[in-house]
Order: sequence, then C-alpha cells, then structure tokens
Amino acid sequence: MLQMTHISKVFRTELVQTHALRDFSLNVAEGEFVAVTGPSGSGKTTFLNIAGLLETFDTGSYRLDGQDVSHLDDAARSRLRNEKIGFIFQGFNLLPDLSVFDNVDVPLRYRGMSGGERRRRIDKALEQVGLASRAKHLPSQLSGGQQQRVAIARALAGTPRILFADEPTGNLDSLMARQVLEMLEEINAAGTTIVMVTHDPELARRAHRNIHVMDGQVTDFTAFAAAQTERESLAA
Amino acid sequence: MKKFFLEAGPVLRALTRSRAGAVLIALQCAITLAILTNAIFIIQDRVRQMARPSGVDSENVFSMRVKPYKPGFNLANDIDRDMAAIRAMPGIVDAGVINSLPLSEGGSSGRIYQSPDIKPGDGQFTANYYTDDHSLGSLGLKLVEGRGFLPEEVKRGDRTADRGEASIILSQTLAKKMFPGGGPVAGKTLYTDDGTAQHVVGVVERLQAPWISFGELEQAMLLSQYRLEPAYLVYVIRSQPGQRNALMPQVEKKLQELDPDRIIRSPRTQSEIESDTYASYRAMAVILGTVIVLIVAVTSLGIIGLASFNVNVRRKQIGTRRALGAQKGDIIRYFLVESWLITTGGALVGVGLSFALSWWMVNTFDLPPLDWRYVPVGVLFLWVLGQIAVLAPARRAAELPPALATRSA
Amino acid sequence: MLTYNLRLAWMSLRKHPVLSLLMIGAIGLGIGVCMTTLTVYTLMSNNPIPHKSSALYAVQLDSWDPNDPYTESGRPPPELSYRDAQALMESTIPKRQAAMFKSGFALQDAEAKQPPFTVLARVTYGDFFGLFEVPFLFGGGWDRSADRNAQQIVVLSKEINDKVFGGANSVGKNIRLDDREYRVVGVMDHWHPSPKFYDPNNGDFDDPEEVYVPFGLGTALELTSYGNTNAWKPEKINSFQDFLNSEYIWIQFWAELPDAKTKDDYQAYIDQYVLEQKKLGRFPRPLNNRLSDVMKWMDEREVVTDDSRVLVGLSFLFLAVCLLNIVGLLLAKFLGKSAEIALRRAVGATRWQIVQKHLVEVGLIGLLGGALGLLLAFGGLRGVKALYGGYDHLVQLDGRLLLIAVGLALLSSLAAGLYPAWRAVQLAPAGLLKTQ
Ligand SMILES: Nc1ncnc2c1ncn2[C@@H]1O[C@H](COP(=O)(O)OP(=O)(O)OP(=O)(O)O)[C@@H](O)[C@H]1O
Ligand SMILES: [Mg+2]
Repeated sequence: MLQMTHISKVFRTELVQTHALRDFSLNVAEGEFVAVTGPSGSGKTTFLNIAGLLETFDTGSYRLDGQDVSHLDDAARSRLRNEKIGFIFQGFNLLPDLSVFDNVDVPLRYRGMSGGERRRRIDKALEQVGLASRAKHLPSQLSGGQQQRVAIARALAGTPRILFADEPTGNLDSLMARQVLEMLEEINAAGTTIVMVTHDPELARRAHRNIHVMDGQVTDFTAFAAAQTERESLAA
Repeated sequence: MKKFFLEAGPVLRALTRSRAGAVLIALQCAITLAILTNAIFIIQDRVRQMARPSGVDSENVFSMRVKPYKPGFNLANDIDRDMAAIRAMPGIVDAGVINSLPLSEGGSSGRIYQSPDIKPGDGQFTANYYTDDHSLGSLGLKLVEGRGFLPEEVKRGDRTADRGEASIILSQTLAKKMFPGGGPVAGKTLYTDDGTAQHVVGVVERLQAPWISFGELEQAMLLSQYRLEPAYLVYVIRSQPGQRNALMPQVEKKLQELDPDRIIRSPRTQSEIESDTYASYRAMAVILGTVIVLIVAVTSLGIIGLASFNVNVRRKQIGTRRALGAQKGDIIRYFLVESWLITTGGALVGVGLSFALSWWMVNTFDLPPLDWRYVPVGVLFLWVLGQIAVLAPARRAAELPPALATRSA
Repeated sequence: MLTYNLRLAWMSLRKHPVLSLLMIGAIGLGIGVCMTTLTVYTLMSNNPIPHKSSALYAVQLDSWDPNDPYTESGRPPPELSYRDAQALMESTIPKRQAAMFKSGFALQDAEAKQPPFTVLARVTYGDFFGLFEVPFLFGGGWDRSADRNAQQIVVLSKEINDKVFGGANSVGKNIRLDDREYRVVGVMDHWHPSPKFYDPNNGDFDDPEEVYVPFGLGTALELTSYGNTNAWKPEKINSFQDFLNSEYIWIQFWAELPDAKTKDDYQAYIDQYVLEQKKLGRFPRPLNNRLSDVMKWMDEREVVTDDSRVLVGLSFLFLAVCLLNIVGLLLAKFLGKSAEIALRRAVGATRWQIVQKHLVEVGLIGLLGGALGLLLAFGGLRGVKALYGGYDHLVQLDGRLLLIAVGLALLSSLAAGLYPAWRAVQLAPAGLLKTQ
C-alpha cells in the first residue's frame, strides 16, 4: 500500500537546516493498522505529511498504492488526496462556519459527485460514527469527541484506501480516546489501511504494528516485535 | 517624541517582513495625495475665478428682452416710452438699453487701437457694449474717472448705427492696457477696427466681458451707440437694494400693458445670469469636493481596517509584550509609529504622483500647473489622517489583557 | 461547484458583516463615481447620427485674415459667408446639401386668438430633413423652388404641433410667425440629436429648433441670425445687401457625400471655387478648405469638455484607491482563513479550486458593489443634472451603461481579488497537521 525507501527531508531556514527525515524507509501493507511513536521533534508529523502528499520530499522514493508519486504535480497530488487518502487531525480541523453535514461534504465537493450520491455517502458516514441526528449542528455545538467523530466521518465519506491520523486522541480524555480508537479499528476491519501517530503507548499497542521514529529514522524494531507479541497475547 | 522615533527602527523591520498590507495602504495614500492636491488646487482655482466681480451691481440688476411681432413697429419710440415708464416706477434706480450683459455668454467683441493707422497684431481685444446714457446707473458700474455718456452723445439707428464715431467708457483694465503710461484717460481718442475714432469720456473700476472663456475677461468698453434691432437689445434695470424680486414682475407687467403686441421674454436677474454662466465651474468644484471627501473616507477606513486586522493577528504578541512589562502607551505608540511610517512611505511616492498627475493635466488639458505649496500641506494632512485613523484600533490593542499571553490564540 | 462556491461566499460575507460592507461600500463608491463621470463623458461623445455620421460633412472654407489664422492650430472658420454658401449650393456633387442658420419668431395661431410665444427657428434648405434623416409624423419638407421663391411655409416640431394643434395633423393649416401667415407643410416626429452637432453656436446639448422655414425667407425678410456673426476685417455695411455681400461668416453648411470618390470630387470642387475667388481678390489665406465628418467635427468643436475628461481620469484613480483598499482587506481576510484553506487542500482541493472559491467570493462582492454603485450613479447623475442645468438629455443611464457598470464592477473586483487569492493558495497544506 505504502512503500517509502530512503526518504529524506531537510527544512532550510535562514539560520538552520533541520534534517526532519533521513534515510527513512517503511512499508505498510494493505489493510494494516500501523501506529507511529517517537519523541517530540523526531519527524513523525513530517513523515505523515509526506505520506499524505501534503509535503514533498528531497530524496528517496515513495509509492502509494503501487503508484510512484514523487513526480506528480500539485493537481494530481490533490486528486490522489481526495480519492485515496483520508486525514484525521489532533485538532479536528472542522470548519467552524459549516454544519456537520457540510463539513463531511467538503471532500466530496472536490470530487464532482452528484448531489444525491453525496447525500447518500454523508448520511452513511454520519451514521457510521453515530452522529446522524447531529447533521445540522455546528461544530461548536458538539463535544470534542463528537467533533473528532465528525472528522472521522469526513475522512470516511470519501471511502479512502488509506487513513492518516496525527495524534487523533491527543485532545480527548481517555474514554473518548478509547471510543475513537474503537471506531478506527472498525474502519480498519472493513479494509482501510490506517497509519496513526500517537504518544499514547496504550493506544499504540492496539495497532497491528508499531513503528518507532527517532531523529528522522525508523529505529526500534524490538518495540515493534514486543507490540506484536503483546497484541497476540491480548487476542488470545 | 523622541521615543516615537526610537521606535521607528524595530517597527520598520517588522513592516518589511509583512509588507503586502503596508505597501497597499502606502500606495493608497500615494494616490490619495495626488488626487487631493490636484483636486483642491482645481477647486480653489475655480472658486477664485467665480469670485471675480463682474462690475455690475448683480444683486439689484435685472433684465428682460422685448420682441415686437407686428410689422411696422417703431422701436425708437417704444424704447423711449418704455424707459420713461420704468424709470418713473417707485423703487427703480435707473433703466437703460444695452446689446448684452456681462457674463451672459452672448455679445460682441472686437479690437481697439491707439492709432487709426492699423497694423496687423496691434490693438487690444475688448468686449463691446452698445448702450445709452443710462448705462452707468442701470448697471450700477463704479466710475473712477471722467463721466458717463451725455444724452446728446447717444446715437441709434439701423444696422450701420453701431459702427460710427461715438463716446466710449473703458474698464480700468482696458484703460491701463491702452495707456500704459498712466495719466488722465478721459479726453483721449482710440480707434475701432475700421479706423473710426472713439472718444474716451470715462473709466469704470470694473466691467467684465460676456464670455468667461474670453481671453481678456476684464477688458470691455461701453459705446454710446446702439442698433435698433430687437434681437440685439436688452432692457437693463436696477432697483433699490432689496426690491429687485418684487419689481421684476411689475416691470414685466408694465411693459406688456404699454403695448400688448409684443412678447416680453427672458426676465432674469443678473445674479441668476452670472450663476448660470458659472454653473460648470461650480459643478466641477462640487464634484471634486465630493470625490475628495469620499477618497479621504475610503483611505481612512483602509488604514483603520489594516490596523484592526493587525491588532487581531497580533493579539497574543501584544499580550506577551504587556506581560513582559510594556505599558499601554508603548502599545499605542507602536501602532502610531507604524501608521506614520506607512503614510510617509505613501507620501514619498505621492509627491511624485501629484506632480505627474498635474503634468498630465497641464499637457492634455488647458489647466494651470499645480502650485507646489499644496503638496507639503497635503503630506501634513495625510500624516494627521493616518494618526487619527489608527488611534481607535491602537487603543483597542492597548486594552488587551496581558493574560492573553498564557492562552493559546 | 459554482453554486457551492456561491453558498460558501455568501456565508463568508455574512460571517464578517462589517468587513463585507466595507468592501462592498468601497467598490460601490468607486463604481458609482466612475459611472457618473463616465456617463456624462460617453453621452457627450455620443454619435448623434450613427449610421450616417461618416457621410455627413461640415464644409469649411478658409476665408480668414491672411495675418492671423482663425484658430492657433490653423483650422478654418466653422461657418461660411452668405455669398459663399449661396455659391456652394449650386454644386450638384453632394447627394444632399443645406446651408442654414438659427433665428426666431413670435408664433401665433392663424386667427391670432391666443397670445403669441417665441420659438427658435432654423432657416434652411429643404434638403435639411433628408440630410439629417428627420422623422416626420405628417407631411414632409419642401423642394428647392420653395427656397428660391421664399415661400411662406413651415415645418413644425412635434412639440410645437402638440402645443398649437393638440397633436392633430396640421398639414395645410396656417400659423402666424412674426404676424405673417405660414402654411404648415410638415410635422416632425420627436427628434433630438444629442449632441446638437449641426450648429456650432450656443449649447452643444440644446434642443433642436421648434420651427423650420425655407432659406429664401432669410434674405426676403432680413431675418437676424441668433448665432455668432464674425468678421476679420472692417467693412462698410450700409444695407442688408452689403451684409450679404460681405466677408462676415454666420452660415452653417452641411453636405452629404456618400463615398470617398464623391468626397474627393467635392473637395476638388470647393478648392476650385476658392481658387477662382482668389482671382477676385478674396480668400487671402493659403488654400485650407476642410470637410469634417460628424465625429471629427464634434471633436474639433470640443463637445466633450476638458472638465469631463479630467473627472473621468480622477474618478478612475479614485476607483484604484478603492480597489487597493479592497485588496488589503481581502488579503487580511483570506490569510486569516489559512486553516480552512489548508484543510480544503488536505482533503483534495487543487490550488485552482481554492482560487476559484475565493474569486467567486470576490465576484459576489463585486456584483453587490456594482449594484450599490449603480444606485449611487443614479444619485450622482441627478446631482450632476442639478449642478449643470440644461444637461437633461445628457444624464441618463441606458442599458449599455448598465452593462458597463456591472462589467466594470466584476472586472475590477476580480482584479482586486487575484493577488489575495494567489497569496492564499501559496500556503502549504502541511501546516495544518501541526498542533495549533
Ligand atoms: N516547516 C518547517 N520548517 C522548518 N523546520 C521544520 C518544519 N516542520 C518541521 N520542522 C522541523 O523538523 C523536525 C521534525 O518535526 P515534526 O513536526 O515532524 O516532529 P514530530 O515528531 O511530529 O514532533 P511532535 O511529537 O512534537 O509533534 C523538527 O525538528 C522541526 O523543528
Ligand atoms: Mg507532530
């Protein structure tokens, strides 16, 4: 699904150069649920931005769903984001002026769908996150957890192949966090690949696989192995 | 004040970082300055021209035309009868006939020469008023030398009647042009186009020509002769102060009664005639004035808008500054300095633009070049405008609580 | 997509009402001021007889002072002397031609029951009506013999026919002009060429004359010209005949020359005429005869005032200030919405789609501003009318100007929105993932 090999990314400002990613390689198979952990500033968000085609990289190669994306222009990258990728952000990033319905509608609008098709998908997505009754509400009228569920519905409505989440539970209490995670697990179970950045080891443990990022590189495979066994024992 | 300029350095550095908004306001200020200076200059030029007195006692003078329509009328007899009747009316100071009135946009003009031996390019342009011995009284002209026409000097008749030898009264401006050496003018002789002698009997302080576009508006003369042709004659009447409006319809009625077989037309006051003639000048001044008000309003709102926006995006920064010990005055000063820098930048460009605009108008149209003194005054105005406009947003910024620093924006 | 963008734009405008009103107001003011001055300007520069203006020529002969040209730029005088006008009327080259001047009468009904009133008259040849395509309600003009024989016949304007005959067909009936009987031969329909191009005297936007009589009457009745009478040299004038024979200029002359060849022939003809007159000691200036078609003629007569041009120039500068203002406000607004832009980009909007979204918003502001501008222009034109007086026919908005206003509003607002919209899409979508 996602193949990154020897990706590097350098941020240059007037004073300093930051190697946000160096020789970063990672494969994520279709249907996987991967958690990314690592200390602050290690390059997790940078990785997610590049993976989600929000940012370009300097060297290395990146194939998404079998397609080499390193030389795509902005319009093609936008189209891929729209059709294959879903995002869930720590800050929810709902548009405050739009109703729940219209927020979920945003990505569909850029896909040139008919009105009926959009309505059907939005209704289905809202139902999936249990907010069908709140379609007309404004984000400010919802709790944080509900807001994040709207954001999940927005990501789901476009039926993405892969979902990127950057600390999706960072702004939620543990109960809400658990709900959101369960929702992600359901989505994953239905076939969508998920890559999630998190600081919460408990959440990370529930993923199929754990990636540890340090200094812009994937480092800790033992953690990955440990998580793997733990998951298996949990399942047992 | 010293603090004000000390602040300029850091503010300028901040400005160069987020320049687009500031550049826009500065450009706006530049164009505003160019329009402001040029428009005010044109307005004051028009106002100055409108303020020139015509020489006529405009507040008390009115006029009307008489059109007999039965063939065989005797215009000379009619005029004598009409004039006697009008002059006898209570409240009337004097009445006379003339071919046209100052600033009425229709009349006669020619050249006048010092010697009968006329060479091309000699002489002076003058407006010619063909009139009678009541002209000074009926127009309310102010004699500064000599005398008015005597009854026996007045000649009238058919189309040749206004082309003979006669007495003339000059406007002071014309007198000075004809006799640059000074000294008494009455008693001298001048010559019209075909070398006909005209005898100067007096000089009036002021007498304008009928056309404001006439190159020599202040050069005019009265001639003691007129043509007996209704289309070329106006009855001009002067009332006692304050009685003009009441007397005008009475005179009209009287003339109609004296002879019903004629049309009394276009009764008008001299102030009306002058005001109509200057209508386009007044209109230009009013329109430009409106544009000035609007542009000042738009530019001020622009400055206010940008400052308000800046206050909003810098909320956290301002709060932090306050938390770090900046006083309200410091915050206000920051915004004042910023506005001053922007308006100054705009003014620098604006000075050039002002002269460029003036240059364009001078070259394209018949307008006088911009008086440079309007430019510094305009710059000063721009500075004051910038400071006043930014004051309210700056105050609002100063009122922001220091606690903002600890909250996320 | 457009309806979606329109809905978003409307919501955005409602979200920041003060900012929106400020922008709409600024566009409105700019458009209002521009449309006011532009309307006056376009109507001043209007072609009064569009389908024929290039075939109608004002005829100018340079009969002026050998030492002092009529204008500094060397143009010949705008009018002809009587004797030259008479001579040119003999030519058979023009399709139509007419000498003419303005005069006036006291007009009364045939039985002299009502009190008379003054009317302005055009004393001209019968070709006048065909030349300028004057529409007729009843009857028509007259032929050359009426001009030669100074027949007492008259064509009435619609307005005068309404006033005297209550709008009925008055052809064949009589009226009195200066106490002489005239037979009505035609009644014009409403005719109001603006500017009044055919006579350089008096106001450029005056109404046309109210009655029209044959040219021959001018000499027979020794009618006075109401226009200017100019001379460059002193002449002894002891009789009306002396005046007619003099070099005084006071007659307007128009010829219809349908094609280039006719025009060349006619130019050769008038030049030949002047050369012959030179042998008689007239026309002391070098050959300088001109044929100016309607638009060139109005340009030379400076029908469009300098003031009007200055005002158009200044009002467009004013519009520029308003637009700069709006650019600043839009920039602030769009950059303030960077989070929304980043999100839309993240979920797949292309740069162009984001630009479109913002341009729709700006266009909406432009349309609303344009509507406001039209309202202001209506008010402004009323003001102009009141200020100038006599511009009544001049200051009215027609469909074309309405379109110009809307187009100008849209165009200028889109121009103003381009830079802010471009700046807005330069924001990297990645910024969004950073915790705020
Ligand atoms: N736009 C940028 N310009 C310059 N440097 C950047 C930029 N974005 C990220 N960096 C730098 O790249 C490095 C990696 O940042 P990144 O945001 O990926 O870290 P992170 O692992 O997501 O950290 P956190 O857990 O705190 O969110 C940091 O050192 C950061 O300063
Ligand atoms: Mg991060």
